[in-house]
Amino acid sequence: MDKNNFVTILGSSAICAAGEDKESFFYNSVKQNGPKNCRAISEYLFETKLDFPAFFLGPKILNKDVIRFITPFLEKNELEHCPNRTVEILLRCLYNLLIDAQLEPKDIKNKTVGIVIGTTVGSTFNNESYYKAYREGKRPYPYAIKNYLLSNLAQVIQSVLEVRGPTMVINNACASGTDALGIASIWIKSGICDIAIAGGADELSKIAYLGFSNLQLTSKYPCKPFDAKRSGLNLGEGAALMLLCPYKKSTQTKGFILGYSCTADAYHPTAPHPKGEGLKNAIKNIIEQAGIKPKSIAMINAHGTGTIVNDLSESYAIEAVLGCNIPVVSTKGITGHCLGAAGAIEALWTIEALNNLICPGTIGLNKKDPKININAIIQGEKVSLKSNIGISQSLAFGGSNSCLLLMGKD
Amino acid sequence: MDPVLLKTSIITNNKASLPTQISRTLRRADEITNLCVAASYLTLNNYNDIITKYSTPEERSIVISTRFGPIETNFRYLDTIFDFGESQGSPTLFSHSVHNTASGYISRIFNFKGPIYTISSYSYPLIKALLTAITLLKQDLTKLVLVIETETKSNLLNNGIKDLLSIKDFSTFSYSIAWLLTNQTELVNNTGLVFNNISLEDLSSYKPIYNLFSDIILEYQNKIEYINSYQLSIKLSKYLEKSFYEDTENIYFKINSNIGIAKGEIYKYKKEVLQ
Repeated sequence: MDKNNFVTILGSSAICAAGEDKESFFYNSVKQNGPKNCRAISEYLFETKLDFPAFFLGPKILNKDVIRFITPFLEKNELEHCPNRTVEILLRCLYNLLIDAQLEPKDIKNKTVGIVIGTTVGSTFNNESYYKAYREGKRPYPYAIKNYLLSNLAQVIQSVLEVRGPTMVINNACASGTDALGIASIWIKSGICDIAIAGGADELSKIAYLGFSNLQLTSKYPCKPFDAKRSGLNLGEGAALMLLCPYKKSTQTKGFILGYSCTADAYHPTAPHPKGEGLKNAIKNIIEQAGIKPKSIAMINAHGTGTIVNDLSESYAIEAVLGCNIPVVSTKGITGHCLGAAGAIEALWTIEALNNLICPGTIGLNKKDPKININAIIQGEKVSLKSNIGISQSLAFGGSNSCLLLMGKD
Repeated sequence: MDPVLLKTSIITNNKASLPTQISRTLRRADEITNLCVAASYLTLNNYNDIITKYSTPEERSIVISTRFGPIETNFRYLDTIFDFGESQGSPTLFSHSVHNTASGYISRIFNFKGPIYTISSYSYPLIKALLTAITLLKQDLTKLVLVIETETKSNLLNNGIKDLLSIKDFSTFSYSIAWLLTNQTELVNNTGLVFNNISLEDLSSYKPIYNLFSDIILEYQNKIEYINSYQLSIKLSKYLEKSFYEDTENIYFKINSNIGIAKGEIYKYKKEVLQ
């Protein structure tokens, strides 16, 4: 492996229903206590009571420290509050990233920092009350429009940190977070920027939730990835961010990105290829890029949503490329499906697992589907890892498949 | 080889004449998807044989950029919820309200299996897509990229932005621009355009980030012209149609706005022909 091709992770942070920081997130998954914060949230999101539970961060996202941190941004843009909940989640995560990377905003002010953020809900105009008034022929005051135009997540981070450089928001549906990290790693390798902040953020949205339930993809129970009794996904919310730079030896290093690939199924608007053809190509690509042998890979953090078709498709691809013995886990049973944030949250969790050389089991997986011929670790079990190299992978609407090859710190 | 622009196409309505097989695939598709597929078809039409000969599906990529995405499709989905209840929303409309639906259709219809991305940005959507495409090509992660910028008309946005900014003139309109780029000599017929030294700098921290006006400043033949990305596509299309041997100056462009600067230069690609 040529270390010059490594992209170094200098800092990381995450917030999701499994933990308000990355340490508690990983600790809770190792504890294997079952899904936390997965509950009906009808009182918060829905007018009518729907049966589908979701992984919820609670109504209040920002604490005093984060509010102090973002106040100049709000004042500059004449805002009383963050433009939306996704921005709140993102900025809380950003605040924690700076702490983790031991950076003060003044350390990077005016510097060239590439920013790539994945999201789905965060790029959508979902203000129901505004639209309802508009379609009734009213002309409501356009606060909602202002908030929408001030909520481009990459530009929000740029504005908060007062940095320069290219920004990008990736909308590759559920693979957006993985792709954001992947594109940032390409930027670093290409010299487009020397330092990058990348990841994903998404909030629980009523409209997205209704859409997934209209598509009959949601479960009435906590999700059970790879389980014989799995019946769909639960949505979640959260964010994860990484601070990336070219290869660097540092005590601060959290891990490395060794490879990234995005492929298309060219098969169906919403469903993955039944045999995981696109995903197979993505896994093969990252192994080839890094120049490693498949047996060097210790684990896979799968997309593992808990829907019938996703888990089958993914298992076919994994079995075809890496065989049926490599440990596979899904963290959706403890985080829910955080859409555009999912890939970033899972990449961060994978780095934690690789640094601890432990792969905890999949919350919700009690009895594996006999059609799934991979080594999906069941709830309550833990596997010691043979190396500190692993894969974090995402599948998405539109037939996107994205994989990151990750390595823990030296 | 430096990435070369082979062709550009523009479409402003979704009534393009498409082969029956493609039209059938689009029967449930929304406006933005129809526009993107039609622009892709126009761009790829004369290149199908050469693309099939010199690239595999895994070596063909798509980058779509947009400011607002399928915003009107999202409203149609909301209509079904308001009209029929929360449990009766249209799954078809919901699946089309996701930003990357169009890229999924294009990859399926034209058999593109390489990296596919959808980007949203209020500033320089086309340049951001172009930068992504050029980076993929320079890193040899793909051989061919279809770059698309697209929007659909939204009266809600038009009125809302006019009210917000207290201006009389703001109007979104429906269009798709498609650009085809490659890093393979075999894929270039005769002429092409090379984008050189593209740099992009957002400056959100210094100006209000809801300013949407970004004019492209073109400098060529000792003239300066202010245009948008739609007009740039028309200009480059004409430029590509000109005889390769016609002596035309290189174009320098700068995209300037209150929220950043993008710049670069465009010059003609000359295919080396062995005598």
